[in-house]
Amino acid sequence: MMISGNISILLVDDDVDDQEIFQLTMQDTGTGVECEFASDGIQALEKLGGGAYEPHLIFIDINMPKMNGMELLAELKQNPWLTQTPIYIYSTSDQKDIVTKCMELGASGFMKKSPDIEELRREFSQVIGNRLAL
Amino acid sequence: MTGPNEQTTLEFLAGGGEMGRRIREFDWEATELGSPRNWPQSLKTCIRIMLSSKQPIWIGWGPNLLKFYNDAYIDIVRGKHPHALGEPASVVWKDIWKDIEPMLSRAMERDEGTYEESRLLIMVRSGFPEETYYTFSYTPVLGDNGRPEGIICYNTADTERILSERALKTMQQLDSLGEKKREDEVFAQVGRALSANPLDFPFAVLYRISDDGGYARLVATSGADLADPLLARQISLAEPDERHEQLAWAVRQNRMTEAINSGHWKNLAKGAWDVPPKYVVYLPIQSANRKFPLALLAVGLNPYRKFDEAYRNFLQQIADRIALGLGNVMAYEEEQRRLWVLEELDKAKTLFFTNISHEFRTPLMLMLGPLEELMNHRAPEWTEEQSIKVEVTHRNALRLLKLVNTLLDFSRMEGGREHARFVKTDLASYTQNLASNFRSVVERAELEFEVKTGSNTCFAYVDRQMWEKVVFNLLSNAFKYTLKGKITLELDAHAGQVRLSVSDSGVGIPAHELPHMFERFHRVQNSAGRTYEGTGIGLSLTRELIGLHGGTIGVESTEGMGSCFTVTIPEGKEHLDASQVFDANAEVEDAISDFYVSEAESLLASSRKGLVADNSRNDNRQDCILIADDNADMREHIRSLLGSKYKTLIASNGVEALDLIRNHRPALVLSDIMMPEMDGIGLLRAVKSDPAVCHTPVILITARAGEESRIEGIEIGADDYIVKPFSSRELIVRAQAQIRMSNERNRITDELERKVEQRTQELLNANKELESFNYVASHDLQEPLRKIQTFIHLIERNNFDSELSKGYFQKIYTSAERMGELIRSVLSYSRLSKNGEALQQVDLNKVIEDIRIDFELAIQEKQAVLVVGELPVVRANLLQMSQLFSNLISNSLKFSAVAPEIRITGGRKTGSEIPLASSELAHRSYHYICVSDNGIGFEPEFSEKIFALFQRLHRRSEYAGTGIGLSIVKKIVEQHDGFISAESHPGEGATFHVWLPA
Repeated sequence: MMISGNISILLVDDDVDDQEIFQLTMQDTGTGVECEFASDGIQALEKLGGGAYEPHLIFIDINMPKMNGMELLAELKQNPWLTQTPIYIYSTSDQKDIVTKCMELGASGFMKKSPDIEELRREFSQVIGNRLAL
Repeated sequence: MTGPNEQTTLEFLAGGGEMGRRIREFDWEATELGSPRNWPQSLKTCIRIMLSSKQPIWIGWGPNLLKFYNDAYIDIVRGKHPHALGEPASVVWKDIWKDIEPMLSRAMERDEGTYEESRLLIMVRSGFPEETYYTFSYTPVLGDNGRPEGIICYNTADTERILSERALKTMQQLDSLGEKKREDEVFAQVGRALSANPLDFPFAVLYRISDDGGYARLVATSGADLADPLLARQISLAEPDERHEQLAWAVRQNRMTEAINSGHWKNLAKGAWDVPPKYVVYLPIQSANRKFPLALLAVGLNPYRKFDEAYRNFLQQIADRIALGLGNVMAYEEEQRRLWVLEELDKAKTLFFTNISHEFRTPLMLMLGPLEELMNHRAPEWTEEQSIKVEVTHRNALRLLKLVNTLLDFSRMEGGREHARFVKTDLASYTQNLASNFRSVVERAELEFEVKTGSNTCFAYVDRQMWEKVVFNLLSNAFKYTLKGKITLELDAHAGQVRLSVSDSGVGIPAHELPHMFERFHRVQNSAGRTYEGTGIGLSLTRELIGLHGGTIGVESTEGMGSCFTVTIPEGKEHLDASQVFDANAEVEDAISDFYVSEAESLLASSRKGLVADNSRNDNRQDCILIADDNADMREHIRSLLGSKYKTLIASNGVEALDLIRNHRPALVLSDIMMPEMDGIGLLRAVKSDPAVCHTPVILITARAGEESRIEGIEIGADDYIVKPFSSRELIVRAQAQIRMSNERNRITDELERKVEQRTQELLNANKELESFNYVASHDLQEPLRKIQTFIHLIERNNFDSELSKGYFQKIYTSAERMGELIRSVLSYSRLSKNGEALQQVDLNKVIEDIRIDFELAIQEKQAVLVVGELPVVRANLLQMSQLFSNLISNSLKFSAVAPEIRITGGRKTGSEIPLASSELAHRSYHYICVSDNGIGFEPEFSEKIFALFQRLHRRSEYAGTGIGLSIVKKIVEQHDGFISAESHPGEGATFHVWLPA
């Protein structure tokens, strides 16, 4: 799938600081991105419901109120509109059992919230690059 | 002395070691030989040869044969060195002169050389006359006048070789001691071997010592006769006479001792020598497990041999060899004695069998007679049940008789008392007649029965009773192990042999059992036949009977397909003992045939009953007992004993029983050990290894009263045993006890299982908590830390732009604060885990008042109202109570809209009113405290989740919080054995119910 114009990305994360850092770093990759945010799983499902909004990439935090990231991931993987959309986990912790669980649930990758902005930018570039190549 | 000029002339004396020097220094001029300068050339040459040789050589020269010798010869002259030099040979060899003088004269006078091989010479070399052996030659040496003027003698010392060869020979003669079976044979051989060596054993005497060391008995001699008056036949060792004190002492010492041969044995014998032995050596013949020697060997020593290490070792070896021989004999005798005892035991056993079988027969006959009477003339007033009982008794008495008869046959055979009467018989018709006895029972069992005897008659000499037993044994065996199909009996004659075969389509015999089929008491394990009953001697008896007829028996079988037994006996009577062959049989026959047929009939009757056994009884007697026995009468008997109290299930073998146990779960299993298909041991194993039924108690019933089967049973976990025959009372009592114990055991097991489950749940909870901690460490604590790092990066990247940095610093500060809060909460939560803090009376009114003061600022800020009713005094940990209500109140303050109203009320409840409490706590009394607010509330589905660690329902931007507060609340309540629940709807406020035990 060739993408013309900007790449649309949805981040589901209840932490506004993290939303800010995410957007800053994504812009730094130099690729045109359009970030959307949802603060929890319920909100994300509302946004994505019915295929009205179809982002190119989805990032999900794990630790969120009401519905955590893994529950959301499982839910999204059931969604027929999103079967081809890569979903990345974006979390502070990269505890092994959680990573394994997420990969089992069908996550395309697991990205640790790195304190190093440079590293984060490289990883984002990589992910976007992968997406463009498809 | 020789001057320098003479050196050249005396060159022949150069070198030669010690003797060269001595010859040079010797004053020859004072002898008849005169100055060496004038010695004839031949003498000089000889001396030259002698001195340069390593072989012992001597030269005698002149009329008196004055002696020259070399270094090697010193060992031969020994004590006569060095003065033998220059002395006449007759002086030096005074002691053997009579032996060598003739040879020397022959050389000197007739110019003839001599050669002597291994010549015995008693020489006095070391101060005593000594037995020596030399090989030597005298060669005459001519002088200047052409006549012999001297001799040269080459020597080889042979003494050691000769002595060791002699010892070896004696030892070889003693080798055969190891094969002797009796003591007297051992003693005779010792005498022979030592007599053959009269040089080393001028005399030897062997005494056998009694077990208690009390006396010695003369058993062998050499050199002297056993009857020699100088030898005592028997010597008392406890009180020896004067002549035998030495001997008695040696026995007590039990080691080799030497004594001077001064007593009465001095004149006993000289052996090969001219003088009697000077010493006697006593050699004990030892045995490891005896205090006294087995025997004592007294040896008169060779008078011409030094009693040195070699001689001593030689004697010791002889003693050891004798000890070995005696030891073997004793072991052999012991073995023989044991064999004899066993044989006697075996004979006694056979006799016992015979007697007891006879004794059994009489009362059995007396039982059978009246029983038959009863059956034939049954009284009209008898009930069906009574008739059946008589029939059962009769059937089993018959069976017993058959077993007793078989035993009797067997013991007759064992005792060799089976006297055959071979009579010419037409086996075709005779066998056909016998077989017809079986026809009706075989056909009633719905089996086909074919008898093929061909058209020809075939005559053979048989003992008819024996032949009958052979035929019936084979047929009844076939019947026992064939449940469906066909039994075929064939008889034909071919090439001088009569062949009888009985084949069936029964269960067959496993290949590994085939070689053992005719062994006594051998039983095929777990075969699926009509019965397991039997003596295990039927086929062995058959083989022996056939053996008496000079015939053979064999078997072929395929498991599951059937078996075929084939008997072959020769025609004619040449192979039989003529004294046992008769032309006509006068005796009456048909004595035993009944037993085989009636046994088969009773088996049939039993199995018929087995088929109608009723396993579907269903009534309200409580516990159910499974009875497994292949004998239908036994099953019925047990059932009649237990049936009034318990439900009963019936199985006729282990496989059936196992099936019933799995389907019906009886409270007890009573099983016979010997059953076809799967025996009681197999059943027990199967039950105890199946987790679903392994708790079922199993009582084994055994007819073998021996310990073996008991132990075997205990190892695989039989719960109890009953040995046949048992009394009705014993059976009932034991069954009851097992059922009672089993019920008790089940109760305890259930209790234990419940406890284990509870413990497991507690452990699972603790584990879950640990997992949460793991998660917080890796996630919640990392999160603010990561943010601090990220914002510092951002400040750097923006080159410390003051506007941007200010915002980031604020965020860093917030994160650090949050982290501090988290760490504090985690700490207070983990502190709760520590028990042991004292409980005290806590007035909750006071607690709430203190909290109100603590939260004063927040309450004012939020314009909150705190309404508190009358609260109870509870027995609790003060600090924890304070934390509990602080958390609840701060929660209500936090999740509120404007003007929060928080109500706290108290009351009293019983356990039955608490939805979370188990029924066991229904009557317990509880303090009830209710905290409710008018805040934002939450969805009802979260009412349990909110107490979980790190569970937040809200985004941090909306309501700050660690997600630990309510977990702490719950834990405090639980540590006080209380309960907590929450209920709410969004926008309708939340209510927390707390119950604490009163």
